[in-house]
This record gives sequence, C-alpha cells and structure tokens, in this order.
Amino acid sequence: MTGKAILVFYKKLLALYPRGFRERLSESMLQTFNDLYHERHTEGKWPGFVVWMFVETAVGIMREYVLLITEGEIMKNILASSRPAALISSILLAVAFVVAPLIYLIGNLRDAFGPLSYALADFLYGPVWAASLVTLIFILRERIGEHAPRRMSLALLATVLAAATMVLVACIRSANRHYHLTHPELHLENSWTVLTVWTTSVAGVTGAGWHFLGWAFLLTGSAGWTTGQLPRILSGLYLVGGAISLFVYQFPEMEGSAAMLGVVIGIWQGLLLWKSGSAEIQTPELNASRPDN
Amino acid sequence: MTTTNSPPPLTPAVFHILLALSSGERHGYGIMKQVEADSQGKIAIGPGTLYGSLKRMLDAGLVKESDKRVDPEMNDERRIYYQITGIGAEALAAELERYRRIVSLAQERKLYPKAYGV
Repeated sequence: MTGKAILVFYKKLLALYPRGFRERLSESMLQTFNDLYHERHTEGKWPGFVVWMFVETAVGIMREYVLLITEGEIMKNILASSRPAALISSILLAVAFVVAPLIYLIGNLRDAFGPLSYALADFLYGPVWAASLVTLIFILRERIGEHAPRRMSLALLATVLAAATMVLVACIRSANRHYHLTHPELHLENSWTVLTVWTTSVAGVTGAGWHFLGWAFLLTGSAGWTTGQLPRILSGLYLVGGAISLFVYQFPEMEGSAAMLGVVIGIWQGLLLWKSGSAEIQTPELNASRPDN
Repeated sequence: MTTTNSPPPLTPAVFHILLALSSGERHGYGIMKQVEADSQGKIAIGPGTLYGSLKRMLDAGLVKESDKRVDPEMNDERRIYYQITGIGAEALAAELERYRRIVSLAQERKLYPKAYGV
C-alpha cells in the first residue's frame, strides 16, 4: 500500500468523527498523521505504526461519541425543551405500562384486529416504553446529576440496558407472531416445544429488562433520597418499585405490582419535572479544568 | 479531594500536553514530539488522544489556537499552533504543586526505594 493510499484511508477514518470535532480538528489530525507517517517511513518502522495510528484514532472516534452522549449534547438537542418531553414521556410510559399488558392478556391473535393490536402492544411495550423511560431518567439526571453524579450515571446506564432489553422482547414477540401468521398450516400454537421455547425466552428477557429497571429505580431513589432533590415519598416509591422490579425474573407474579408502581412513579416524576420548569433543570457542565481523556 | 480554590487534578494526557506547551507554542506533531522527549520516550500520545484532549482543553480555555503558519523545520504546509493560556498555566502549576506535595509526603513516610538514595 502506498503512502498516498494510506493517507486517503486515514482521511476516510477521520470522516467518522462527530461533525463538530471533524470540522474543527480533522485537517490538523491529517497533517499530524502525515508528519508521523513520513518520520516512521524514513525509519522503516511504518507498518506497525500505521496499524497503531488507525486503532488509536478509531478508539478516539468512539470516545468522542461516548462523550457526546454522556455529556448530553445529542440529548440536549433532542430535549431542547425538556418540560414537555418529561410530561409526554411520563404519559407514554404510563400508557405503555397499562395498555400493552392488557392487550397481551385479553387479545386474540386470530381476531380481525388481533395482529394489529398485538403490534401496537409490542410497539408500546418496546420502543415507546424504552424511549419514554430513557428520556425521563435522562432529564432527571440533568436535574439531580450534579448532586449524585455516579448514581445517576449508573441509573441512566441501567435504564438504557432495560430499554434495550424491552425492545429486544418486542422484537422476539413480533418475529414470533409474524411466523405464526405466515405459517398457519404448521399450527405452531399447538406445539409444546415452540410454546415452551417462546414463553421461556420472552419471560427470561422480560425478567432481565425488569431487573435492569430495578437497578435504575433503586439508584434514582437512593440519589433522590440522600440528596433531598426528590420528595421523600417519591424516592421511597422508586426504592420499593426498584426492589420489586429487581426480582420480577424470580417472581413473575410481581410484574403487575411493579408495573403499577412504574405508572405512579412515571406520572409523578413527569408532573414534578413539568412543574419545576426547564430553568431549574440544570445541565452538568464539562469540568473546565479536567477534560476527560 | 480538591478545594474550591485549586483546579481539580489533570488527566495524564492533559498534563503532558500542558507541560509540552509550557515551553512554547507548538503544532500537533510538535506536541507529540515534545511529550515523547519530556517522558524520555516512555509516553507516546496518538492523534486520537492528542486531538480529543486538545478539543476539550480548547473548550475549557486551557489552551488556545494561534494563527496558522509554516514550521521552518518542516515542509511548507501551514499549521495551527497551540499555546497555553493563563488558566492552563494555573492548572499546570496546581498539578505540579500536587505532585510536589505527594513527593514530600512520600519522603516523610520514607516510601522512596533505598536505591533512590533518599
């Protein structure tokens, strides 16, 4: 590979940086890479150097995206107005918590609207539930994160895991339903093996989702309680809801109680964030003297 | 634990970049070479780390960009030079002071290996 081709590849790699970073620094980075490449080429040590440069830069790109997310710039843009976002999220979360399980319990796949209602339930209990929960906890982290940064960051991480897991459950349910409907001749609903595998995998992954949600609620409740940034009762509900959610995987019959607590917590939190106003929702600033790297 | 008056500790990358810039303005490649020289070749910062740190240091006001100009020792390309700011110098001084305190604490507790002759 020629030096020119390596430079072209490196330039393409730099194009993967977030836009702001790329516009500001990619030209200098390319220049520096060029300088280093010529230095190592003269010394005859360039193959290993090129691999290191590409790997190190790729890691740098990932770090920039992680920082972009953790510093909240992406979310800040999305949530330019966090009050309506908090309220809408809490309402959607409550709807997802109540409506989706009802459809699962009383729905009939063979009804005329069966597949549609199940698709709605999966959409509510998957992407809607996930997006609402992440939005709500993210806004909350913006509000009380300065007082309990580690717990709120971990709570956000647990929330993202819970959200991803519930989206996964929705995907499994949807894929399974689609296969049932496209192959009625197989009568898969009468197959014990299929039913056992399906119910076990759905219940297992759902349990994992609740478990992560449990951690998110426990951490949020603990942060709200010790910092005094949330009402004591709400913090207590977070803690109780978290403790129950944590063990839904072992006691699935507790899912209903956990869901009801989720509804109460979600609505209360949404209203609280709505009432508190966007001006009070503080944004953790980048530490001026300690850039992470 | 930091006080409100002194800046919090710096990461190794930021510390070495500030140290490299403390002796004069440098462009990216120049900073890398200086860091390598300052650490006797033990620390090599790649472009991902260097420019990631520089971006945050620029945002935090620890360093600033100078005008683009040609490095007389290199090719005729115009380069952006970086220079340490007052805030950056203060942060570096605070970090060095922290190191000094740690060294004197280690000396008091006789933590230095005997080979160091302390």
